[in-house]
Amino acid sequence: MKNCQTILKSIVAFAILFNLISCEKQTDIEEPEVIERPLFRQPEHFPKATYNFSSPLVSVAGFWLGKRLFYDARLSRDGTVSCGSCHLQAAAFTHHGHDISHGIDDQLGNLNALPIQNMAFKKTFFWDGGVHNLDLLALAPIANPVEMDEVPENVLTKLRQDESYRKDFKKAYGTDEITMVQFLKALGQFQAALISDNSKYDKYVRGETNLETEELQGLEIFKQKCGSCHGGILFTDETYRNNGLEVYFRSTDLGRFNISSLEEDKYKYKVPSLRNVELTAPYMHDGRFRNLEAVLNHYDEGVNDTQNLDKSLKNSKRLGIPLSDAEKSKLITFLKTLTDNDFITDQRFFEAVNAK
Amino acid sequence: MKLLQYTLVLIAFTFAIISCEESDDINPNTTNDVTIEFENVVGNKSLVLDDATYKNANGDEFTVSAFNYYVSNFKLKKTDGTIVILSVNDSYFLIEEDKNASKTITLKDVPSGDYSEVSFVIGVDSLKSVSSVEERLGALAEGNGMYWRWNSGYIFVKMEGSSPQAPADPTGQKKFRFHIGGFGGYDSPTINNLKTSTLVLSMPAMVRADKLPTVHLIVDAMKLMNGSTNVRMAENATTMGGPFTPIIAANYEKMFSVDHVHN
Repeated sequence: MKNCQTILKSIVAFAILFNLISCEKQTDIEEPEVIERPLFRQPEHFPKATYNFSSPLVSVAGFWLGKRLFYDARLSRDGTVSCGSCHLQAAAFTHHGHDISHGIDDQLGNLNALPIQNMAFKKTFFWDGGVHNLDLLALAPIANPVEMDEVPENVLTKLRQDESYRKDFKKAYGTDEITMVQFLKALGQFQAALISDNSKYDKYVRGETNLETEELQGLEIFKQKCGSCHGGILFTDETYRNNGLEVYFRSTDLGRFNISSLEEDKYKYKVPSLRNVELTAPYMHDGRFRNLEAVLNHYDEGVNDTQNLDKSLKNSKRLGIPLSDAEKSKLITFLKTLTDNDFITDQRFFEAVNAK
Repeated sequence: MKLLQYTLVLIAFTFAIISCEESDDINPNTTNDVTIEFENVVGNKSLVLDDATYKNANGDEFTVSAFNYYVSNFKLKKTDGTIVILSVNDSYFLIEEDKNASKTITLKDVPSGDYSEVSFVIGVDSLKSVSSVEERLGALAEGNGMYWRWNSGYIFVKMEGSSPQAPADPTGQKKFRFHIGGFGGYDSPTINNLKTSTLVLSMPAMVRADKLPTVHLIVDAMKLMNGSTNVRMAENATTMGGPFTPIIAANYEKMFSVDHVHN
């Protein structure tokens, strides 16, 4: 009897799954010939997800709702700025080419837009780690006066007036009531699904491909000279550090201090992941370096002894991390193996592709 | 004969009455509600938003436009020393001066007993401060104006108003804003401004199956500014997060007092 039930359940589950797949196939006419990996997945070589993929509020329909919201400028006060305005998929969801981003009324912020990738495996978000829950992240840019400048509750009011949104909420949550929790959960799970785990380096780690000689040499240099901060498969230890950037007079940003109010956190920023780093120029919290060469030159010879400078940059006779030109070149060759083309071309994340 | 009957009935009645009174022995299996009223004042004057003018210890004059705070994690101490911890999930309250209903809260399912002390956290404890979005409802919803969206955390105490001694903003208004929060940090330490207020009740609050006491508290908003360090409007008028917040938090730790208890 129990077996029977199990079989029956499997058949039902199979039928539902099959239905879902066939539904998606019917509508995704432009779907390329790639095997779609699950939206919410735990790559084997990644740390355990911090995001709860098994929440009853997480589903394929929730992802599609979240994507629609991500690209909807109604999230901003005057309907001009969406999340996608500053987070472009082709640039690993950064604002390629912009040191700091233009928000509403063409205002400038303080900080360089970070990539939205592998968010499901992070402990904290933003350069200062001020947000510690992916579902709460979207509130910050929506309410920021120089980004989207909107009261989050007002966004809900706008969405409630749109019949098609009520339908999408119903698909995702079984009710067309549009609440703050459901709104945030949709944006959270869309971002959680933006997983980049298929770079050449990932394939190398999984034993699916080899790295070239120079890439391997770059990897060795990386481990010795960069790995103490950018360690692990996500290429960040998620700590806050001051990497010795010149403190500009015009800048009033104090980094982690803005969150902690602790003197020892002044000028410290979250160590960023280096995945897709080739695509996310310019670099540093304020986007001051236009390319990777400038970044490596900074570590080699540009480090300033500012308040709370990280100890790891005081190891040699002079400040910084000594690097020869040959080493820099190999490092950059290696860093390019972290580029994940499948991630930036996954059509499910495209603005124009919709679920039906 | 009749007299005997009357006497017996009378005795029976008397006995019943006496035993009724004696059955006031506390039955620990019963529970009831405890009501707590928060009456906001400024020094020795009542708090009147926008209209009334007050003067702090530094000599700065001010009016108040908003005074809101969280209280949570209620504990009650019985006269025998036993401590009753109330269900945490029902124990988050946002008191807002401009919303009368918010100033009376109900602690539910308090076991019968005589209580001599109440204590609570001023703010939202660290565990709740990092809870999932699904739990952020009611008093804890992000839209109550008591949540920092860029620094996931609640404002524990918010006081705003105007003062002629405060620096003028670009529109010429001289406002002061105290937004005090900071639960200690998630992955890395931050300022921790969580405070606990412990108040001895002026007379025991008696909870019985048929008795619901009310505890009337006075909350003195002036205490934010007057304490071991007095606030100076000229310098501290904008304290929204930051290193000065622990000074205001240390001051407001003492802003609650018991006025009276109704049984």
